[in-house]
Amino acid sequence: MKYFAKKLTITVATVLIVTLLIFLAFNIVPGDPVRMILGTEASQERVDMLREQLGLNASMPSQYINWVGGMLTGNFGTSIKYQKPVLELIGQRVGVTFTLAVMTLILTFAVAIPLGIYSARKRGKFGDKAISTVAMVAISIPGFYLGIFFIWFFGLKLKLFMPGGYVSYRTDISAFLKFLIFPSIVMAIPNIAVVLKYLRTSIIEELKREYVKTAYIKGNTAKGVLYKHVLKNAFVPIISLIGMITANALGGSIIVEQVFGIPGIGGLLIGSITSRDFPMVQGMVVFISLIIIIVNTLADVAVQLVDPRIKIT
Amino acid sequence: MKPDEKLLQVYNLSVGVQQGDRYFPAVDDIEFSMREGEILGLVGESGCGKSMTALAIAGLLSDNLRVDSGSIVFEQQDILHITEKEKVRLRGKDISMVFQEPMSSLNPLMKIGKQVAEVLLLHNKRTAKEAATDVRNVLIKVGLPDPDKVMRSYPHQLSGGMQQRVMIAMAIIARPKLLIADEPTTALDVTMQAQILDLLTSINREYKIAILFISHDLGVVSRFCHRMAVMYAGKIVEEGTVYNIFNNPVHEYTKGLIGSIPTASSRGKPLVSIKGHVPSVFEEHLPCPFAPRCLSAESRCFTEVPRRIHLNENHAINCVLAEKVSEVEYEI
Amino acid sequence: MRNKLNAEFKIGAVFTGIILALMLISLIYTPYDPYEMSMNIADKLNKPSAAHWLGTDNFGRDILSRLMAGIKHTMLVAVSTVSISLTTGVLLGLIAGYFGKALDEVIMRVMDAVSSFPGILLALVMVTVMHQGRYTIIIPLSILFIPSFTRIARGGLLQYKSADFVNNAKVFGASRLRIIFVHILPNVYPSLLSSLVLGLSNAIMAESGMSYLGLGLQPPIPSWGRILSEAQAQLFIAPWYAVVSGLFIIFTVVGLNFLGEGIRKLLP
Repeated sequence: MKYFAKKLTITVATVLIVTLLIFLAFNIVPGDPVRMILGTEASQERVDMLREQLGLNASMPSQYINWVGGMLTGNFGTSIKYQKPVLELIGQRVGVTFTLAVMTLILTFAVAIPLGIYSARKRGKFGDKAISTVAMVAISIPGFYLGIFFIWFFGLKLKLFMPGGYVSYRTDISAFLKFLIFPSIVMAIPNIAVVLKYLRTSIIEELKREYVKTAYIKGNTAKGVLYKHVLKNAFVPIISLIGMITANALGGSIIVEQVFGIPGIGGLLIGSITSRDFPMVQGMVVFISLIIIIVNTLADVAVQLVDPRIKIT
Repeated sequence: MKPDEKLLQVYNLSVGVQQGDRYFPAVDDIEFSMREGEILGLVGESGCGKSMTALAIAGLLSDNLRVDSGSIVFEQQDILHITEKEKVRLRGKDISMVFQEPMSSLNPLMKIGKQVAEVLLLHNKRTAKEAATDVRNVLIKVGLPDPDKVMRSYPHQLSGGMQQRVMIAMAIIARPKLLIADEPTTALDVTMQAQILDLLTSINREYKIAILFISHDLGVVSRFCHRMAVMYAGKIVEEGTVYNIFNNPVHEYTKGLIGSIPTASSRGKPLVSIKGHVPSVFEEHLPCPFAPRCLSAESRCFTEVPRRIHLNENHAINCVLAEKVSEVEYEI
Repeated sequence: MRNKLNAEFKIGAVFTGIILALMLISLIYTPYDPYEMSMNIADKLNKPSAAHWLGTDNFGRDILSRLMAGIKHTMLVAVSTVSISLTTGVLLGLIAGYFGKALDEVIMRVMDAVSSFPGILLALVMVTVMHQGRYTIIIPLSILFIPSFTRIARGGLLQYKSADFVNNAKVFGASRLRIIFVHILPNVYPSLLSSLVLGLSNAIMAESGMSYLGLGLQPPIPSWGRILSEAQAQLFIAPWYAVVSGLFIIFTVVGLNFLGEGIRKLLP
């Protein structure tokens, strides 16, 4: 229990640091943010109004406290462009992005784990070398290019899906999931390469440990040693990767949603940036950061549950 | 099997390091045997090939090592040339092993109870419940008074001595015929060493488990073993009963080793050591690798390959010069 | 680097060499003017032919010429990004490792925070709050890559801090700065070199992604990301346009990744 209390304190501290950094980034803007939003030709009246609306007349520390305090009560600010609460706008679109991210995570581990195990077992042989070369090329392909290629090949050539034919889950849940399959494959491919490389190294390192000899001398077969003893140990460092993969998936979805025309929070973010909707961007960045921090904390707790040796980080 | 029949016979065993297309022998044409229920000490400095010999018998050589030639006969069966399936059946049930570092030899993420029970479940096809009773008994046997608590613990929650007792429990729970103990007390402090040796002695007496005891510590071997084999640079230079060898060491290396043990009578005198260094595995080997350090070496020591000479039934030696030792006298 | 050159290194060097050669050629010669548009319908979206090796785009511009002209901008961004993050990162790492304690803790926590963030998100935030110039993209990308260099420099400093040759230098009265820059830093060069090459490939990926979103290199620079985003609009009529433009990026990134991996394997 002591561990979880400590973990919680660290998480809260991280949240505070991250919000402070985001706040500073948006407030130490070279130039007047209001002018940046409205442009240099806006009337003084409009400038003053927006300044008041954004609470920019208060001192910096109290601005920060007001902002964080507001978020605690669920007020992430109001979008200038849509004139609606930021959280409401995110809420309308987060389901799509969330589904996409979860599908990506599942796909990543479902493919990377067997490939990583295979690679480690065949280390140095042809199969392993082929996998690592393909993985190297896979991480070198930009997500948007892979997306475009998928649209052309699977969409236009093989007609496996309708490019641009996104269906809302409110209309047809199976058509919705079917449409998201290809974007999630696109996002999963580079992550598969990363996870499989880590897992391969981790398994090979574990196979060198002394307890492997013990497992053999007990009368285990090579398979028994791998599956009953080595894998659990090799997975411990992989669990910590979940945080990174989630961050990659959320970051990747910003671009991939654009490529496939999926109305998730990525599109919302790009739109807000282009229209200089500062409160919207700021609120979304905090939202995404919170998700990543929470996932990282959960991953740490999971590692602790699996590995009894780690008590305090 | 008749009582005087050999449990383990090692013939002309050579094991080495394979580096690319080059092969470096680390265990060079050795030969020894063990009877049922016997404790044999394999002694030598680190890097002499004693651990590699142990691993070869257990079939646990890592990928870069390979057996070049020879045979290892366990209960009339050459275990170097049986299928992997047959080897798996042998391990844990007939041959088991205890290692130097108990902490790293236990799976850190598995509870002790499960780790010890695994041996039974692998070989005897018992239910987990039956196995738990056996585990409890064996843990008490190896001197862990609160077996239930130990069974629920993870390795890192136990002390080094307790971990080694767990390793021994795991090694004897299926009542193997041969237990290989590779420096089992080196990582422990002195009092713990003595307790573990006592435990091994009682196991040997009670269950008639033969023990191949690998050690660099001649003192420990002299107190604990029935017979001993001295290794130097991949070769066995002298073999016999502990009594015979300590009373009449013939090989210059054995003499040096015994001379370097501090005793009550040597107190105050400078410690004796053998001059020179042990040749590395990757160096060119001489017919007798000890010749450059040997105090009585002659020119033929550098050209003639020493043959194994039996001084009597319980004392053999590998030395060119020993051919003239016609008669050996042992103090009584 | 006493080992034999490995296959990764060779492949990487050849790929990177080809791209650099094309860049040098583009400085004095491109098959056509990369910016000149044509009003003639016949010139638009031509398939690859003897006249236009990679075809033409929807404005009638020669795709090969535009891709070639794009190399120097991409490389400029990548090289500036990596130089800025390398110097800043190494300095921060040395400071953190040398002074230790609270300062070390603060620097490394901030680095952890920066690197746990999705890179693209960080870059997007920076782009939002800064005035957009042609090469604004360099600043956010530089910040993105600082942590990796900081870790290497700090790790190296800590590893060699108490090494024998450092103690020797101390005995002979070398100053602290001299010890850090003359005795310790050269030992870290090999791993810095490998990260530098991988940093270049990451910078190219990130820049092209941002440019694809319209938030990276600004027009009229023919950046690869922007070319691809234009190509995507023509995917139905002219798929080769997107395919060849993308292959340019992949070719470059694969080359640099192999080169970086090859250098890492060459390390003692």
